[in-house]
This record gives sequence, structure tokens and C-alpha cells, in this order.
Amino acid sequence: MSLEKTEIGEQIALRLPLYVNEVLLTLDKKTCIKCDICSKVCPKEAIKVSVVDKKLEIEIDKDKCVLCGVCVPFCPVGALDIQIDKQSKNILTLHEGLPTFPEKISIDEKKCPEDCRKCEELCPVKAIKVRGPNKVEVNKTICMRCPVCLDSCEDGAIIVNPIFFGSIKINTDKCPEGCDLCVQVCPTKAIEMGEDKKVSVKDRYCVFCGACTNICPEKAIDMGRTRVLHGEGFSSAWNFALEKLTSARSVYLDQDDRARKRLVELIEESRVV
Amino acid sequence: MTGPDQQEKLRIGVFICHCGKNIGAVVDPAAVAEYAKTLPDVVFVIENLYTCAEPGQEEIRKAIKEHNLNRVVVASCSPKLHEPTFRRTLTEAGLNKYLFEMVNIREHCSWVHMREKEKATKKAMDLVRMGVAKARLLQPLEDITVPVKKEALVLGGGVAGCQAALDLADLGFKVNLVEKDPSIGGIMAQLDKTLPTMDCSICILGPKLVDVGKHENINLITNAELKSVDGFIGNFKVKVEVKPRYVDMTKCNGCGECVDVCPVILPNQYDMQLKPRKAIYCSFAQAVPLVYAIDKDKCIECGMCMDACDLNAINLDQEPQEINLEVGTVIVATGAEPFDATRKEEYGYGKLENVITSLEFERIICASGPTGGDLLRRDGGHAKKVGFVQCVGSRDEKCGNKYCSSYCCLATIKQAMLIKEHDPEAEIYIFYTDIRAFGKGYEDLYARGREEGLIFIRGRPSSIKENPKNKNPIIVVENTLTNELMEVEVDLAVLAIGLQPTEGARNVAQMLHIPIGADGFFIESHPKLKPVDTPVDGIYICGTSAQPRDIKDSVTTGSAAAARASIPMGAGKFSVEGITSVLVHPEKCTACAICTTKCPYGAIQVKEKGKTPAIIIEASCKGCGTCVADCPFKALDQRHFADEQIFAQIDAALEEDPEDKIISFNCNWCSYAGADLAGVSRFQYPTNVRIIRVMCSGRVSKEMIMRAFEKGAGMVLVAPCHPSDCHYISGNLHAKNRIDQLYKVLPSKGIDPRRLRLEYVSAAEGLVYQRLIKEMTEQLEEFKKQGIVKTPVKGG
Amino acid sequence: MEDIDFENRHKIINKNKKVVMCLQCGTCTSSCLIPRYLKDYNPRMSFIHALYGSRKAIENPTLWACSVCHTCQDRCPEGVNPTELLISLKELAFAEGLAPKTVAQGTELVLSTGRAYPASAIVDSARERLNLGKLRDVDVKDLNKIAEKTGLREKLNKLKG
Repeated sequence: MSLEKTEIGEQIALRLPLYVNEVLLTLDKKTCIKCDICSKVCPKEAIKVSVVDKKLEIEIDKDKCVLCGVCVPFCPVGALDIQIDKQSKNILTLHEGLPTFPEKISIDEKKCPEDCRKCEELCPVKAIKVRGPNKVEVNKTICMRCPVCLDSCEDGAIIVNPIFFGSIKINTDKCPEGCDLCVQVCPTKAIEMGEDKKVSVKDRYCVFCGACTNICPEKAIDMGRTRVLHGEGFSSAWNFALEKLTSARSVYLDQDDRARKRLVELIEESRVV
Repeated sequence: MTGPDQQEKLRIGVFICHCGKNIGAVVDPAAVAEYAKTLPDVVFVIENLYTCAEPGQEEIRKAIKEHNLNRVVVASCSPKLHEPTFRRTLTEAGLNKYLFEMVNIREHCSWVHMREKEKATKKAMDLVRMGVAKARLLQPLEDITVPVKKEALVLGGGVAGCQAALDLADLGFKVNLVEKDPSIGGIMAQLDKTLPTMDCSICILGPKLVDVGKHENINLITNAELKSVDGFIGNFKVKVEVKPRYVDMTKCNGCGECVDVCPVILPNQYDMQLKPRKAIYCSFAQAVPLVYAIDKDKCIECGMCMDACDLNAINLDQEPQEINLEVGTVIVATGAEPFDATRKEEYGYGKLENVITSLEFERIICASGPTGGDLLRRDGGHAKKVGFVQCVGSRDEKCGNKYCSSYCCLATIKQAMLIKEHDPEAEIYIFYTDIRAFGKGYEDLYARGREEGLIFIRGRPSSIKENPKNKNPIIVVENTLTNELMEVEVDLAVLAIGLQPTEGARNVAQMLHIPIGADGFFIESHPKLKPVDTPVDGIYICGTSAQPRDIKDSVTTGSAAAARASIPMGAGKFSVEGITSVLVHPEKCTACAICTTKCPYGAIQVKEKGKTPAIIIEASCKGCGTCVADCPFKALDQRHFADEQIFAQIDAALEEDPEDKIISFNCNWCSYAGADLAGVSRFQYPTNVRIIRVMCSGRVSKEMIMRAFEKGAGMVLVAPCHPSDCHYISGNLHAKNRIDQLYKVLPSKGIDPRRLRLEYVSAAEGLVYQRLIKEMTEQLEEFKKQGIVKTPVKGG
Repeated sequence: MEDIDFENRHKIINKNKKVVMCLQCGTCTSSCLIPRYLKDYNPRMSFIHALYGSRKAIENPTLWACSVCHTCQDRCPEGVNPTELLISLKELAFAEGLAPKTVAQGTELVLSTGRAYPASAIVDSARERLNLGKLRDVDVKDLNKIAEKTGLREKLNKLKG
């Protein structure tokens, strides 16, 4: 039994139409940065990002998707949403089957100097809007957790929490001449084309989304995540997602971490007061 | 084994039956009796009005004693009806029951030649001559008795299967109830109320299901399917595959903690896909066993259920399990499926959101359904105006279902009454062609319906449209009582769907070797007298697997099947007919082992090819005769259907005017029954055909066919079962191979191959047999005109 | 109602064996497109009249309104073949001269020109404009021979009065 799929404008909707109940998955293709995170974490491999006419396209297979909602919390731009009976709800996170992630960004407005708009001007995704003196608005949904704004602020007002750690390397000898597809798709503008017509990546601003690896026609980019920063919450779905995003070794280390934390907890609990 | 007993002189008694007017009004029994007196070795002939009745049987017993008869021929109806009756009569008179031959002058003569009395009488004489010719060569035989295990298999856990299982278990037999779904209950568990009393369906079914689950004699095997069946009555060897639930049945207590945490939401089949369930689920609250199951296909293996389960009952590594059972009898209660209403495109089901089926309606109106029992549409609005469309998927040759599903007329009235109960102001239309209120209390409910103000419109809607503004269905119909075309706009349209055979029915039929009718349902041995037996001993059918039925008839046939099954199991033994294969000329056997390749039962074996002669395992031998027909050295023969006996019948049939005759070899299970059905249905055909009964078309050897042609037969017909339907599995295939080989050889013997026909005729195809004989007779006339069939030179 | 006219009834049944299966369910009439334009057009009534051997089956002038769209034939649950049945009834009516004048005119047109629609000056000039050749003449000699031999000519003359 497959779901009803509709594509209206820039939105893909997958719907399970029951008689009075309804489960609806929506993917906002405009917001979507076509990274590789949701397609990797999906336990049914229902999401696919592909290159069509040198542009990235995203597709969800209505026969494979089971509306489990694993993809939703992982999306860096909040392009995915699941609504059960018209209310956004995620059963896995509700029951702590998936961990929460640390807050993307917090800005201490009190520290902002007057008329300073440096963070707003430099934010690669235009997530920050300075509305007035000591009044800064952040669209936390599209914030990419990159340290551009943090680096721009001389007053230390901004805290940014990335969640992915890893490494990225572009093997420019594989690059086709003049190709700058990776530059076009990088959401944080971390990749740029130099005067020597060769691309290079500013490591610091890479958030390990994977969009560049998706579009590179020559598989010239080696991007690997080694760690994911996360809060409480655990299940096999998380394990599977973590392994797909990072590696088996990273999963082992993560579990080791968790075990150590738990041990500390237990010791605390058993401490005689 | 063959050849008349040298010691005693033959004393044959012939009994000609009138069968009231059934035979007497067409065939002249007195003339046939007179003729019978002239046949060699016939010492006693008498006419009876009803030979099968007690006075008739007494005549036979008396005649045997007074006239020292040692062979008996009864010319009456089909042996498939009364051969056992008369065999019993012989036994009572002290004569071996196999010294009896029955001649069919009713189904194969008087009933099919009703307007050709003279020719019918002549044919009856021929048939009697054939019967006497065989009787002369009959030998006394002993039946083989097999033990019957006091354990049964019931396939299917709907209300019929549960009833059968409970009855057998209460009688003291062990019952294995195999159900393919994770819970028993079937369609009855999905209904809200039952008619005509408006009892809550699950309330009356629930306790039965609990009884099945608890009964110490019932081994409930759910989430399982039948894989294979071998053996015979008393000793069926059954393989069942239990599909993994991924939940440990010994640990799960049905608490449901796992459900809340499961992230995968799916439509629940029990609620006709209208209500949600999770990937780990229990179909309904009263499920038996009350154990959850995981839809592994959709499960994402997140493990949340495992964490939530305190009893550690979830095991995602469960494997399918094979169970071997040995049972004495099998009851088939596999049920039926609701008609897929998308096949009736004109009604817009699946496209128009407010067109639903009657089963979906049951779930909606039920308090445990998606709306809590409120009659709501998909958009949440209350349905005040409801239109019911009858006969959807029934009585409809365009949908391929010509039969009436019987329960839907009253089921609709019941549903309409339920609406009126909730909302007396509701406007309800019922669009019907006929109202069938056949059951007890049904006419009363129909009357109450009219009293409650249901509006009956006689007309079969041609299509359902939709009002785009409010998505109301508009039913397009002609009111045939007022001759007015109507377009009735309603809030909700309910299609009264019928039942159709299950997808797996054909597979089950093949595994059990039981026949399926033209409509796809299993066929009973006799529509009136044996409504739950099948032609295969020890296998019974009940419930909607045999035909669309209401709950009462399903329960009735369930109990009936249990009663029938308890007969051989209670006796602990069953007799197998002594008509088995026998190595009559062991000196001719070269141990070539060709016979072993023809037997699907492994009943004939050659231990060392080329060295040890063939051995027959009589209890496994079904008596088809295929090995006999294919033995290249004629070392084998079949008891009671010996080569000599059949040749005698062929010769007797062709004694006079052979060029006018069609010799038809009919197999006992299919074409002989098909010809009987043609008789029962009074399908008329020309008198040229002379039917010779064999147990299986596989028995018909090349020698028999050539004998017929050599004696001048105009045409020869071999009528096997349809390719996958042979009662003996493959006899018909071997018959076909043989005849294909014969076709190549016939021209060299001066016989036009078109004079030999192989045509498949099933037990349900009376019409086909009639048309076939008509066609062959016309062809025979042509052949005679063209000189292809010649009148044999007298004395040559 | 008069008695059933068995002769008429058998005449119709012999032409259409399946008419006896009609249950008068009304699927045909409610599927039909014609009642939208011709009120009281009712094929189901034609069939019950046919079953009773009534003259109404062939005397009903609306019989000729059928457009032979086959919707009824597609849907009839008993396999009555209503479209073919209506054509049979038309044949029986035609044989008795009970057909509208337009039927005679249409048939005459085919027999004289070989075409169902007349070729006119308008058609000729349109063809010229489109660079299509002139419509060629059709040889209707054989067609008229067939009309003679099959009795069509006789029936047509009867119709024309």
C-alpha cells in the first residue's frame, strides 16, 4: 500500500490518507539544500538526491517511505516535516528514540554595538536580521551552524554550535576545467574559485552537509564526518543513521562515550551523601 | 484375475429401473427388459419402479437368493449416485460387492434424449448389453482397510473453521487449526452487527474465538500457510509454514506498550485501511491469540518497541518455521474475499471520496472503527442522505461473477436500519434489482425496513458521478417502476459488494486435489446430498470457501463438515476400494520401471531397475490405471477395470451399426460427472454416444482406442479432466501424450485422425459435454457422407 | 394487456438468443446518452415489449434514436447485447416499412452515390482550397445488385410507399 504523492510548486507531499486520520510528510524543495544527510539516514533508502542538468534534485519514493520521521530532525534546514492529524509531531523524538541536537545559535543582543550589522551582512544564508539597536532576529531553521557570524563578531556576542566534525579535501587534479558546481551548491559559501581557476575549501566554514559531494561529477571531493555532537536519546534508528553519516568506528566511539557518561551517572547516583 | 471363474456357471440378474417417470417416460423399460433376457448368461430380468428404494433393493436380495445369481446388473441412474447403495445390497445378500455393474440409462440416456424415445430405448439396450458383457468378466475383490488417525486439520479460522474445530474438539478429536492471518475471526470479526437480530458481531464471535484459543484439543497455528499435503484419508502428511511474527508468543501478553513508541503508521487491514495501526500491531482488541506481530516489510528496526517491552517478547531475528502434521481428515474453511469494487469503474470507487463499500461501512458504523461509530464522511461531515447500490460484483457477467452473493440484500437493509437507529431523520435509498430475503427472519427485517421508511428504488445504477462543489456522490439510475430517469444526490454512496474466491483458493485446490467450479469456489460432491464432502475422501469444505454465504449457513456447514469428518475418525478406519493395480503377468515384467514414472503417488515401485519386477503398494494405489495403460509389455492390469472387461464393453457397444457410434471414454471424476451433470441439467444431445466409464483417462490405452476403431467405431472421444485438475494428478497428461503419439500412427492404419478426439470436460461442464457430442455427431455425419467413415462390410 | 404473442416473441428470440436473459434492471436506460436529448427514450421498455412479443417493440418511433454508442452493451450485467438487439428490432421494423423517412433517404443516398453524406458544391470548393483532388465517382452497380438480391430494394420501395 503506497502513499499519495503530490508535488505542488516547490513542495513534495507524501500522504497516508486514512478515514479521519492523516499522516503527512512535506519536503520544501526551495529550502532544501540538497545535502546528503536525509538520504543517508533514511532506514528505507526512500530519499534520493541526483544530478539533473547540472542541478541537484531531490526525490522521495512513495513506495518505500513509511513516514517514520527519522529524516526530520536531521535536516539542517528544517525542510522536512511530518504532521499527524495536522499537527507537527515526531514519534521517535517524542519517545527519545532520536537525540536532540544542541541549539544552533544564540546571540547575546546586549553585547551588540550600535549600528553593527556585520553578522547580518556576512551570513551566507541570510538567517540574521538586525531589526534595531540590540534587537537581532535569527531564523534558526535555516541557520547552517557555520562560524561565519561568530568570526565576524568582535564583541563575542554570538555562540554557534556545530554538530558535525570531520574533514574535507578537494582533489583539484580531478576537476574538469572551469567547473565550479561545488561552489554553486555550497550553502555556507565555504568553497570558492581562486584566481588560478582552481577551487578550494575554507575548512572552518564547512558544515559537512555533503551537497558538494552530491554534485561533483568526478567524485573529486573527499568529505568524511567523524563525530556528531548530540544530546540524550537513543535507539537502533539512531545507531543506523549515525553509521550511515559517519562510520562504524565512529558509532563505536559514540557508544563508548555514552557508556562512559552512563557510568559517571551511575557513580553519582550511588555516591553516599 | 481375468476370465470367468471356471468352476461356476455364470448366472446374471438384470434389474431395469423406471425411476418413476425419469427413465420410464423416455426409455421403454419393458422393451429393454425383454432384450436383456436374450443376452447370454442372463438368467433373471425384472423391472422396478424405484430400484434404489427399499422394495427395489429387497427384490435384488430376493432374486440373488432364489435364483442363485452370481452377477448383478442394475440399469438405472449414475453409479456416482447409487453404486455404493447397490453394492451394499449385494453384500447384504451375501454376494461380493464387486460382482455388480451399474448401467447408466438415466443421466446418460433418458434425461439427455428426452425427445428421441425410440433411439433412447435402443441406446439403453446397447448400454445394458455393454454392462452385461463386463459383468460376465467381473471377479470378487476385497477392499483394503486403512487406519484413520483421530486428528484433523482445519484450514482457516473464520466463523466456519472455528465452529468445525470446536465441534471436532468437543467430540474428543485433536484439531490443528491453521490460519493465515495473525488472528482468527475472519470477516465476521469485522462486522458491526449481525442480521436479522442486530446482535453485536464481535460480542457473539469473541467467546467462540476465546474457546478455540483455550480448548485443550485445539492446536492453534496462526500467521501460517499450508505448504504441501501428501497421503490419503486417515493419513495425510501436511507441511505448514509459520511466518515469523517477530514477537515471542510465549512471552507477549498483549499489553500494547510497544505500540505507542513505534514511529511507523500504516493503514489497518482489519479496519479496511480506514484506521491507523503501527508496524507492530494487533489486528483488533479481541484478537486470538492476543499477541502482537510486526509488519517486517515496513518496520525500520529502530528497536523502540524492544526497549518498551518489559517482557523481552520482541525478536527481530525470528525465522519462518516449518511444522509437520499427520492428520486423518482435512476441513477446508478458507473463506472468500470481498469483491474489489475498483473493478466496477462506473461507480467511481477509489476515485470519488464519498463512495465506500459495505464492509468499509461496517467499520465506520462500528464503535471500534475510525469514527467511533458516527456516520461521518472523509471531510468530517455527517452523512444524512445515504444511497445503497446493490449487486456490486455479483449477478454481473461483466465483472466475471454471474452468481448472487445471497447475503447482500439483507445486509444492506441491516445497515440501513443501523443508520436509522442512530439518526431517525436520515434519508436512505436502496437501489436494487431484486430483494432476496431467503433466510429465517429475513422477510421480517425487510418489512421492518419498509416500516422505518427506507426508500426502495428498483433500478441498477449505471454510474455514480460527483458534485464538484461538495463532493456528494450523484447516483444515476432508471427507476424501472416509474420509468423515470433519476440522478439522486446523496451524502454517502455505499456499494453492497459480494464475495469472490480467495487468491489462494486455486493453490489450495491443487495441493489437496479437490475440484474448483467455474465460479472459482470449491465444489462439493453433490449439491444437494453431499454439501460438505469433496470427491477426495477425508477432505471436506465449509463456509464461504464453497459459495458466498451468510453467517448462519457458514456455521451450519462448519458443524456439518465436523460431523462428516468425525465418521471416519470415529470409526478409526476407512476402506479403500479394491480396484487397485496388479502385476498380473510377472513373467512379462522386464523391470523397465516406466510404470514408476507414471504414478504420482509412488504406489508402484521397482527396487532394482532391470532386475526386480514391479511391486504395488496397495494402500497408496488410487486405482487410476495409468501405469497399466503405459506398460509396454502388458504385464499390469487393473482390478475391476481390466483390459478384457473394457474390451468386452467396446465390443458390445459396437455390435450393431458401429459406424454410427461415438465411443466416449469418460473418467469417473470429471467427464463422467460432467456427462451426469448434462443429464441432471437436461441438456439434450444426439444418441450416438456410448460412454465407457474408467476411473481416470490415464487408464485409456492405445490398444483400447485401436480396438474401438477396429470394430468400426465412427469416432472415439477420450474426455480427461482439465490439465491441472486430474483427480489422480497426472493421469490426464499421460493420456494426452499417448493420444498425441497415436495421432501420428492412425493415418498409416487407414484411420482419419480427426475421428479421434481428446477434449477436456470437467465435472462442472455439462454444457461443454453436450455441445461436444452435438458437434462430434455433426462431424460424424459429414465423415459418413464423405466416406471417411465406412459401413463395415458384413461378414468381413 | 393482450396475451403474449408467441410468434412474434420467437421471431425476436431467434434473432437474439440472449434477449431472454433481460432482468429489466434498467442499467441500459440509465447509461444511455439519448434521454438527455429525447425524453421518454427508453431501451429497457423496448426489450420488455420484445420479450412479450408486443408490436410496441417495433412500432415505437423512438427506436430509431439509438446512436449505437455501445455504452449499454458495455454495461449490461446479463450479457443481453442490447445494442445488437436494438439493431435487430430496427431490421424487423424496416422490413415492415416501419422506419422513419430519413432512413429511406439515407439508404437511397448510399445506393445512388455510394456515400452516406452528400458531396456538395461546398465540399468541392473546400477540397480545391486545400489542394485535394476532386472526389471520385463511386461505381454503385454492384451495390445495387446486392440491394436487389438481398431484398433491400424491395423493403426500401415498401418504405417509400
